This record gives sequence, structure tokens and C-alpha cells, in this order.
Amino acid sequence: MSASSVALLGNPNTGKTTLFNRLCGARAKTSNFPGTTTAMRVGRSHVGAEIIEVIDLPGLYSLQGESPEAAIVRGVLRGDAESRPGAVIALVDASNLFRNLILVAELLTFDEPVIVALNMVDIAERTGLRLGVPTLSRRLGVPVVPMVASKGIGLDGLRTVIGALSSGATAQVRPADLPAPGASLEQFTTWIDDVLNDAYPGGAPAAALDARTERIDRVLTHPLSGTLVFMAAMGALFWTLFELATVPMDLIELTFGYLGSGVSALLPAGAIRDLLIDGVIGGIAGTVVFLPQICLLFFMISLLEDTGYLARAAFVNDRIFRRFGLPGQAFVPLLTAHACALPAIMSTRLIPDRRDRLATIMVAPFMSCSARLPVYILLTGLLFADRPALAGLAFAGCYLLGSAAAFFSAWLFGKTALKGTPRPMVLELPTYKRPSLSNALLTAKDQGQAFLQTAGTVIVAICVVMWWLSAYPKVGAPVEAVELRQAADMSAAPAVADDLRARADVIQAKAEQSGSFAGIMGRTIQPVFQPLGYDWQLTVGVLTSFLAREVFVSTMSVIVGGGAEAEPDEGVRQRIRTMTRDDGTLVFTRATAASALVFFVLAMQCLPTLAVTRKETGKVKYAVVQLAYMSGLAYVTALVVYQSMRAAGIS
Amino acid sequence: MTLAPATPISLCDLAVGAVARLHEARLDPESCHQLRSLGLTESCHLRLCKTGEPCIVQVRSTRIGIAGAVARHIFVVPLPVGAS
Ligand SMILES: Nc1nc2c(ncn2[C@@H]2O[C@H](COP(=O)(O)OP(=O)(O)O)[C@@H](O)[C@H]2O)c(=O)[nH]1
Ligand SMILES: [Mg+2]
Repeated sequence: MSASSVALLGNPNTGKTTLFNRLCGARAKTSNFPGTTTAMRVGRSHVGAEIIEVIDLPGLYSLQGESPEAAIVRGVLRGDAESRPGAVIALVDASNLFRNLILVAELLTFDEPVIVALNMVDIAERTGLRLGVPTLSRRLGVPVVPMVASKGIGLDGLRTVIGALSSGATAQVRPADLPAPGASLEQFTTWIDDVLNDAYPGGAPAAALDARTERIDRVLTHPLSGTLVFMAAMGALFWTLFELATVPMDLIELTFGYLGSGVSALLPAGAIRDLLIDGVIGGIAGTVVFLPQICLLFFMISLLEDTGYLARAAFVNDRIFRRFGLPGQAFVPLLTAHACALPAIMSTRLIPDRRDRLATIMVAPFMSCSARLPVYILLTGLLFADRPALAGLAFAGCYLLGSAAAFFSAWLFGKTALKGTPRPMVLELPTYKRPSLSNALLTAKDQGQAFLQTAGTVIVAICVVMWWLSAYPKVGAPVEAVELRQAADMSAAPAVADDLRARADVIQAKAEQSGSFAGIMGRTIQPVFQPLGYDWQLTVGVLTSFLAREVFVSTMSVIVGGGAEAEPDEGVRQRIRTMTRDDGTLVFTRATAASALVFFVLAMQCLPTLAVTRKETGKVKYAVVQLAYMSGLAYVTALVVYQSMRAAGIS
Repeated sequence: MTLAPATPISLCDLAVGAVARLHEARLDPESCHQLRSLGLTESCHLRLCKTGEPCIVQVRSTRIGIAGAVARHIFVVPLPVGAS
């Protein structure tokens, strides 16, 4: 038995996270329990002169049953001697002692030394509950430490008790009347009833009604006012991710831009410099840029969760979502996915049921993320160049199509691959509490760190490879460009010379684009996209967008000889509109533009998302299915759109 | 029509504010276990705080939100006023 580690166990909302943060501060790491998708936090804490490891176990109501959380906790408690924690701190909510102690009773049937941390005594005292702590301790046969985790009260007492246990004092003796291991919840209930009758002077109090909670619940779960509050809360969340997050995101891009030009000034031109600036620095920037949205989202979720509101909000959409095989909690991920699929997929941790969680992960990327925005703007502009009102409608249609595809697919998965009775929601509604800012900050930090450590490295690697594919092999400057440069060298007027050189650069960029691996692949794969109406140039655009969708715009811009800007000017857009196929006809007929638009709405063109899906589901399989399903659906739908428009005479 | 006091009725048909004894939950074993671990054990006393979506019941100090689709399958025996 290693006394140098303790595990935290308790019902949800008992202050486990708060106590963990108090014990370990910022020295914690979030990962998953081996082989599962359940998050695990491990930290270190000083106890006297020793440093002990603290493990945060998933919150749960009972150690029995089939839930993955119960299985994980049982696994930890029954683990081999090395990995088993030296002691278990059972955190209980003093204001809801009865229900909380059932779990403790179950825990006592295991061999681990147990410490009961009696948390939230401030709330219990406010409601007038007076408990005989020594009696409770005697009846349970374990130390009971009263505390207020949110204020740090009782922490020293807890540390002392942990220290005494780990110094290997006397072994704990279980109460003689404790129900046997495997007893029913009813038997544990009877025993706890008896214990509490003893521990509360004058007998266990009758359950009081919490008038305040009752009043707030009446508003927050009301069909009308509940929905309004929900929309306001989600609106705030959306604004944070869509508007507020752009400030740090722009800063990150600016910083890495400066870093790039700094390195560029230091190094001689050549392959190494390109690799460093466009590959590595670009790749790291492309990863770090996700951090603001991830951290802000988890910050907001932590606040919402701590107040107790999230449990109420989950019910607002449950009835509608269930019809499509999604849980009510899927609302946060699906809303977030309109900003970015990465934080959305990470936030599916809110969903307790594994099947529900998988379904949400699989369909969240259908929602139109902000990276699709520039593509929608470009393509709807091409589709209805002369009718801005129609272009606007098509733009809104893209968002609708994305959501429709998500719900349809969730329904389809529910009927096929992810079968299982969708279980309507039953949730504890915790009392309303003031959220903890430090909990929220630490959650944001932990999630950001976990993202960088696990998905981050993969995403940097993907970015470098994609950059390499579009930059290599290097082709020599085309004759035309060489001639233009020679003409520029001989020109007397500097303005004319600059103009000639700029034109030479454009021609060279286009040659490099089509000579690169990506360009070669575009030409090779083009027959696949022929039925969708794409020529090789558009195919290159589609392929390069697999790095990130917004790359499409700059790729098309380079192909028509503009710069590689994310926001092409009117001249470049005009050139994209009039760009021609090898046979001289227009690339962007109305049918092609519509088909490309549909493809971009539905296709899985985001490798970072796949990296996160793999990480959150724990299996490569799900990332592969996601890629194949979404891109397959995109292909078929785009095909239908193109061919039926052609058949209808629209081209 | 008056109900005999011992007739189990669906949780959905219980009056708001009424106290009742849990009779049975006609649900899959996993859902039943979930309800029991939240405190809705055999023959426990509960109070209906709110009907609708979700329906809210209180068992001792625990408030539980239950989707209507589940509440319909939970059967309770109303207790006379004044019982707890
Ligand atoms: N009044 C009071 N609130 C607490 C106490 N401990 C935690 N909280 C609050 O209870 C809420 C839930 O805490 P959290 O640590 O997230 O619970 P968990 O779900 O068990 O991890 C947060 O809003 C905390 O600030 C306490 O001792 N007293
Ligand atoms: Mg927590």
C-alpha cells in the first residue's frame, strides 16, 4: 500500500474540484483514465514534510451499476497494491448528508483507509442543521473532518489526518453493523438512516424545502422564461467565442507574424528558412490560435456548471434533441461548433452518457464553423454575383444545411452504428451557488494545457506536412517570369520595373502552386471531382483546404495570380469569377459554384478536428469514420446538386 | 372520480406539492439503478415540486429533474396530506 497517494471520491457537486484545487493549486495535469474517455486529474500536495499525489476520481452517486465511472472507480479501489491509492478522501455535502453518505457506506465495504471530508458546513449551518461530528465519526469508524473547501477552512485539519494515516498508525476497523459488500442500496439506506438518527442530536431532521432554490427553479425551468434565460446564457457564450476570442486570436497571429519576419531577417533565404517560417512557426501558430476559444469556453462552462444552472439548461432542449438521438447537453457543443469544432468536441465532456457523447462528437463538425465563413462569402458571391440578396439567402442556407446535416446524421447514427435506447434525462438539480473564479481559471488552464500536450503536437505535425506538400517540389522560375524580371532589370523607370517584378512573382507563384505535390495531386485526383463539375484548379483548392478551410480562398487567389491573401480584393474576386478551365470555359458556372458550396458545408476538411476526435474518443476508428462519412455525404450531395442543376439547364 | 389511496398513479398525474411513496419504475435496469442511486429507492417518500419538462421531485434534500418521458413510467402512491 503506497501511502503517498490519496484519491478524492464523492457525489457530483460536492466541491471535489474546489478541494482538489485547494490541495494542489495549479500543479495539476488533466488526462484520461487509461483506455477510457473519462477525464482524470492528478496533482501534488504538501502534507507536512511529505509530498503526496492527489487523484480526482469522477463524481458519482453509487459504486454499483454499469456506468463507466463506477467501473473506473471500482478498478482504482481494487487495483493492484502499487497503483492503489493509500487512502480515499470521501467528500460529502453536509447540507445533503443522507444521499452523500450512501456512497461512503459503499466505499467502506472496500479495504482502503477512508477519510470523510464533511464539506459545505457553511450551507448546512445556515439551514440550521447541527451534526454531532464525533458521533458520526464513531459510527462510520473513520475520521470526519468538517470543512468549507471554497474558503479553505478545514484544510489544515484534513492535511493532519492524511499525515496521520500515511504515517501508518492504526488500521481502520469497519463498523460491525455495516452492510456486507454487494448489499442493495436499500440496505445501505437503512443503515445510514440509523447512523444519522444517532449523529443528529434529536434525530435526523426532516428534509427541508429550499424556498430560494424552488423559486429560482420555477423561473429557470419555465417553458417561456426558462427558454429566454437559456437563450441569453447561450448568446453570451456564443459572443465570447465569436467576438471576444478574436482579440487574443488576432494577437497570436500578429505575434507569430512578427516572429516569422524576425527569423526571416536572421536566416539566409532557402529551404531551411522556409521550413522554419512557413512550416514550423506557421504550424505552431496554427495550433496556438485555437487556445483562446478552448480556454474561454471551458472558463464559461465551469462558471455555468458551478452555479448549478447547467443542469437546468440541459432540460431545455432535451425533448427536441432526443428525437434525433442527441442529449440535451449537446446544445453547448453544437453551439460552440459554430465558432470552431475543436473546443466543441472537447466540451462534449459535459455529456455523461458515452453513446450520447460519441453521437455529438461525430456530428458537431457539420455546424458551420468560422473558418468556413470566408469560403461561404467567396462562393455565394460567385453563385449570385449580380444578386446580393440571393447571395445572402444562400449564405444563410449554408448554416441551415450544416445544422440539418448534423441532426439528420445524429438520427441516422442512432438508428445504425450507435444503436442503443436513447435514455431521457434524469439529473440531480444541485442548489444554486456562487461560482468560483479560481476554479474556472484553473479549468481553463488545465484544458488548454491538455489540448497543447495531446492534440497540439499532432496538429503542428499536420501543418508542417501540409505546408511541405504545397511548397514542394520546387519548380524553377517559368520562362515568362524570367523574361519579365530581365525586362524589369533593364527598365529605367522604377515604377515600371516594380510592376514587372510583381507580375513575375505572380506567375512564379502560380507555377509553384501547380508544380507542387498538392498541385500534382489535384491534377491526378481531378477525375474524381469531374462529376461535381470541378476542374484541376478547383480540385487543388479543395485539397489544400484539408489543412484548414480558409486556405481555399488564398489558394484560389494564388491560382488566378493574386497574392496569397485571406481577403482578396475586388480585382482578385473578379479574376476568380472569370477564371477559365483548360478548354477555355468558365470554372465557376452557377452549377459548379453551388456544388462547391455544398461540398464545403458538409465535408470534413479539417485535420486538426480529426486529431481531437481521435483523442477524445480514444480511437482512430472514429476519426476515420468521421472523415469518410462527412466527406462521402458532401460528395454525394454536391454531385446531386451539380447534376440536377445541369439537368435543369442551369449552368 | 376518486382514487383509492393505495392505487399507484404515474408521477405525471401527481398534484404539485403532493407527497407520495415510490411504488415502482417501469424502466430499463440501467435507468432504474440511476434513479435509485440518486435516492429514489424502493418505497422512499418523495414530493413533487413541479410538473412539466422537467418534472422536479425532492427526495429528502435531493432535488431531481426528470424528463417527462421517464416520469411517465414512474408510479407512486399518493400519501394523505400531512404525512412526510
Ligand atoms: N458554500 C460553499 N460552496 C462550496 C463549497 N465547496 C465548493 N463550493 C461550491 O460548490 C460548487 C461546486 O463545486 P465543485 O468543486 O465544482 O464540485 P464538484 O462537482 O464536486 O467538482 C462551486 O460553485 C463551488 O464554489 C463550500 O464548502 N461551501
Ligand atoms: Mg468538478
